[in-house]
Amino acid sequence: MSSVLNTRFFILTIIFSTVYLLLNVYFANWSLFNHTFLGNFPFEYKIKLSFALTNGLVTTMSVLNFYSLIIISVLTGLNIALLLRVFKNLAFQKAQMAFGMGSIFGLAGSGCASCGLPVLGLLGLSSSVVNLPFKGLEISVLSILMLVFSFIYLYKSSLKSCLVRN
Amino acid sequence: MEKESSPSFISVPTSIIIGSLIVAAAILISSGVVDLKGGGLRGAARGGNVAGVTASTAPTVNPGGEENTGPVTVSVDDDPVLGDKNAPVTLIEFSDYECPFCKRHFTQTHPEIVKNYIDSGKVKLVFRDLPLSFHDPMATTEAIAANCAREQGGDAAYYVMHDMIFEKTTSNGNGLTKDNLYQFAADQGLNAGNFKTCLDSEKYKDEIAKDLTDAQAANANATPSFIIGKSDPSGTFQGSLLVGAQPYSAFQTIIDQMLQ
Repeated sequence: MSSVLNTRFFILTIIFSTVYLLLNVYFANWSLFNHTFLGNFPFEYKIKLSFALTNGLVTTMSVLNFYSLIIISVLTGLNIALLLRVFKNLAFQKAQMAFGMGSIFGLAGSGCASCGLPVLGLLGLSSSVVNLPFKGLEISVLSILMLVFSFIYLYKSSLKSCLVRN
Repeated sequence: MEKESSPSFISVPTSIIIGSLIVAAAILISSGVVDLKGGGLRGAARGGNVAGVTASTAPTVNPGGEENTGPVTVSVDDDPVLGDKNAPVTLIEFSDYECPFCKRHFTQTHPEIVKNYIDSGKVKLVFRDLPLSFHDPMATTEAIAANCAREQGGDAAYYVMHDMIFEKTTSNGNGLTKDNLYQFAADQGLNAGNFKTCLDSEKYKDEIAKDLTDAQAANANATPSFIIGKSDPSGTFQGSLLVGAQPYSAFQTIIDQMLQ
């Protein structure tokens, strides 16, 4: 077990989870980010705005949505880190597909459903999501289930592949 | 030894690439960079103009060489103003009275903006309607009610009604009833008969539809959305699009930069 879940694995998990979380911040205000970072603004302004918008993760969504986003981010980080660990043995197509779809659903379903989800809103689907019984939280739960499935599958497969090598 | 199924180096990258392409395509189409009807890419310099609102994604530079204050060009239209009409910075809020996060902005962030920027004459707020279809009919009815109040008492009456609606609504499309709105008008001292006639006839429905069109053209796809920029005497200005019930610090950072 320790051969897979080592320090390097957890550091990678933290990095990828953070990147995924920041992607959510970016997608919510991509126009402002592009303009600010490509524009001729003071560095201090760019940093201050980035921090302010990252803090906005807490205020722009409900508590349930926020926690589901955190869970999805951590699971995505875990999956990517594990995927990199076992990349040489890519015989885990089911897990890969579940991971890919889970991450995408998680990204698409994050935000305030009743105010129009940023990514789904771009696709014109946010009003459809609001008609769901739990106002789009279903997408986050589906995403979490897929990511958990892919992680378990990948983890079991990675243990098996280690045994074969030994 | 168990035979491994044939390794696939395609499925993970494929699913990531497909997902990324879908999201990227959605952003490009919605921002107007890709015009599906006209075909092909729309150059940033071309800057399609819809209902008085232009949107482009790249930072733009005006003929004088000075960098503009934001990537979205939008008009204040003839919508109600809170604060000094000659304030150097304009904050347009596209909002839905039945959106819980618009209410959150009203209760948590709006008072600080009013206290630190609007009351001091640095910023003027222009409230424009973006009632989301799944919050209708009440979201649009409330927007009409605020406009009916304005008809009788100007911008001041509009913002009194605006405050009353946000304070009392429980959001999500069924936060208030029409009777509540009649009562708010009476509490405010408006002519009850005229207000009722205005509200029942949906007199300002077209005005609200115009706000909706302008919001969509400005890529304000979610509520609340804000466009912050340096004021222009023409009423049309270039600003930055800020989406969501962002914390006060986000507004403070952008406004302070614009005031420099």
